[in-house]
Amino acid sequence: MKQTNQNRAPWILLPCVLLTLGGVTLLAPHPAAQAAPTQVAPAQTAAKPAAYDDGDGDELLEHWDSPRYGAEERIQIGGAAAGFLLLGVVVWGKRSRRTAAYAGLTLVDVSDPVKTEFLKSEQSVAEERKAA
Amino acid sequence: MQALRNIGIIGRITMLEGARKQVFHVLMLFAVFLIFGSASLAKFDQHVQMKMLNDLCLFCVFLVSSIVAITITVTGVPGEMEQKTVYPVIAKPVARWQFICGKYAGAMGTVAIGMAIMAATFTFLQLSYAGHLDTAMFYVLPFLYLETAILAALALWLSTWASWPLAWFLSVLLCLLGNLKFPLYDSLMSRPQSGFNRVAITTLYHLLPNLESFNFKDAMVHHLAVPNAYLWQTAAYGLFYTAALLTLASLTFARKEL
Amino acid sequence: MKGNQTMPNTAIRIQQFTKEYPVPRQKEKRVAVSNLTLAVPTGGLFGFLGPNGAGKTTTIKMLLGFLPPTVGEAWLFDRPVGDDRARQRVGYLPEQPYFPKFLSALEVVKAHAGLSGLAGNRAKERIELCLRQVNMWDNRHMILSKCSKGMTQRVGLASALVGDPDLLIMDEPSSGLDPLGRKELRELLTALKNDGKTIFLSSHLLSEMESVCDRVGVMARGKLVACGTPAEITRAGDGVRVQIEQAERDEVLNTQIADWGGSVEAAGEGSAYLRVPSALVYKVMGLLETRRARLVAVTSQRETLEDAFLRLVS
Ligand SMILES: Nc1ncnc2c1ncn2[C@@H]1O[C@H](COP(=O)(O)OP(=O)(O)OP(=O)(O)O)[C@@H](O)[C@H]1O
Ligand SMILES: [Mg+2]
Repeated sequence: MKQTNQNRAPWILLPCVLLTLGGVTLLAPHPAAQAAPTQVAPAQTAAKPAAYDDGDGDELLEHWDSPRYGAEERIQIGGAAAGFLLLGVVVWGKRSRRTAAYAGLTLVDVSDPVKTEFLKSEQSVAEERKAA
Repeated sequence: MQALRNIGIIGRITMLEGARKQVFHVLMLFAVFLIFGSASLAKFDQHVQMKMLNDLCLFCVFLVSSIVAITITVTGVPGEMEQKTVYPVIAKPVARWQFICGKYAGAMGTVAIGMAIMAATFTFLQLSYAGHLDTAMFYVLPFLYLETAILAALALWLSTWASWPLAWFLSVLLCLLGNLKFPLYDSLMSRPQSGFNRVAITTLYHLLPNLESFNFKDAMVHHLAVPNAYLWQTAAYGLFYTAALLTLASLTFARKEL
Repeated sequence: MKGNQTMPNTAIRIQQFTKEYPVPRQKEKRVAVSNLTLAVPTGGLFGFLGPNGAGKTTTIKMLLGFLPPTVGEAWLFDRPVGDDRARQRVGYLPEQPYFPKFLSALEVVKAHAGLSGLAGNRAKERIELCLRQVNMWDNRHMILSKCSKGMTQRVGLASALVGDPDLLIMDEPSSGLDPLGRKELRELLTALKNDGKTIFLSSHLLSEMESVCDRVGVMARGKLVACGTPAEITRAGDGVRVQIEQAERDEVLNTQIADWGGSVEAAGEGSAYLRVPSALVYKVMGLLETRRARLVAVTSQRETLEDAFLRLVS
């Protein structure tokens, strides 16, 4: 069963690859299409510097010159950092609570006969049974 | 220390497994074929030809390494669980997050092998057509690798809670959306939207990875200069985003019943 | 005071383990393990018995942290099972061990040695020792996809043993092994036990378990129905069974036995079983001599573990 699945994998994947390929070539901005749809980012096309116009129609402002990209990157870095911080606090809190709980547990286990009941080894149970 | 070792051991096995997969071989053949094919397609004068060659080859490297990264990570963890190879490993003192990072490292190792093969083909073509290497390649390719790293982490996280075909589909979808993030946002927001929709779209927009950031293809094709500060920031961004996704994947996997 | 002494001596402590699996399209859940409380002392071999679906594998999975229990807690050497370091001193052999198929036996065991924290010469020694112990050293370069089921089982055993664990948890270790392999496994388990290791294993092979187990726990439908030494679990019958051969039915013998409180049971052509109280066994011998009946066998009427198991789980 597993064997046949594995053998079939390339044949399942091939149409996927072709579909993706088709999709990407349709969707990805390629030179001819990039010049035409001005409504996509009108602000950017207006701000294009003339220096990059090398005459092959690929005149869109590159993302590293757009402050928008840099700003978005910084927002997401900040978000991730905040997430890590929050997670760190949660994990730390949980760990300290757990340590406290287990520290308490050992004490309870020794003193509380109800809780120590299950700790009895079979040996001691057997001894008790013999004594009875 | 032991954690790093565990990740290394799991990663090594995963990488060996990935590099042995038929899918990987087929994709590598496909890539090499595509790169050589693009060379024969580009039949123009020297200047334009080099541009087209670079453009097509880099696109092909991106495409194939993304597919390899997504396919290998998406099948990695579910495959381990289906084939029950995960049990002997996590019965050792190996934390769940170490397992996830090991699987991820292994997948990225496989992607690195694939990228090395494609880069070698590309270098060979460049040398035979232009006679010299374009130095831009030395940052364009690493950033492409960083982009596939984000994709792989995304696929890994998806595969910890979705079945692998669904995770594959979602990863490819998110890859496309991530590449078209800004135009998509602009076109959605230019239409009249209700307040709730605006908030939802903006939230999703800020959660979506900005994959276009890693695309320095044009810098190489058109010989443009990229500011260093932007490169560093983008590198940091990629690492942060990957780390966040791996943390999410570890958290979901840690809760999983095996 | 007592708690203080027994605590470091417990390899496994389970307190009120309960596991419910959700059943698709149904409201109520399937209870796989219910309210299991168990303590396994350090040293010795604990047999975890039960029919199919009793919840043995589920319990073991919860012990190793693969599944969170619905209710309850457990400790391995006093570390809660949720802690990854609880498995530091534990070796585990899964129900059906699976490893990446393209690796060789040696590579698998090496990887597991690394995951157990072994390195350098110590790792090399342990790897060789374990592969020799399970009789796979000569086949160490064989790729796992070419290994038979029993060989894979041996590789699994070697990788469980390689970290030199103090506690071995095995889920049906003898499945897939040939009679020779089972005998070797029994010897290996005995040797490990004599080394002071604790072994916790689940099995169906009761006659085997009876000879090696120090203690057994019997599960049925998710509940622990008996726990103790095999001698405690099997019911001691106060009697002996005497098998005799006689040419024809001997009424004098039969009435005498009935007078003594025994019973006679014909068993085919010219053969019979007498059940008598063990105190009277020499009297019966004398009677047999005078009645000219040939004695075949005298056996104690103690229950076997298998009988006890069938009684407990039915
Ligand atoms: N993943 C699961 N989802 C739902 N039910 C499960 C799952 N795993 C086990 N069960 C159920 O839990 C019960 C106990 O199963 P378990 O595997 O622990 O039995 P076992 O004692 O190991 O049996 P065996 O001797 O056949 O190995 C069974 O009724 C089984 O159907
Ligand atoms: Mg089982």
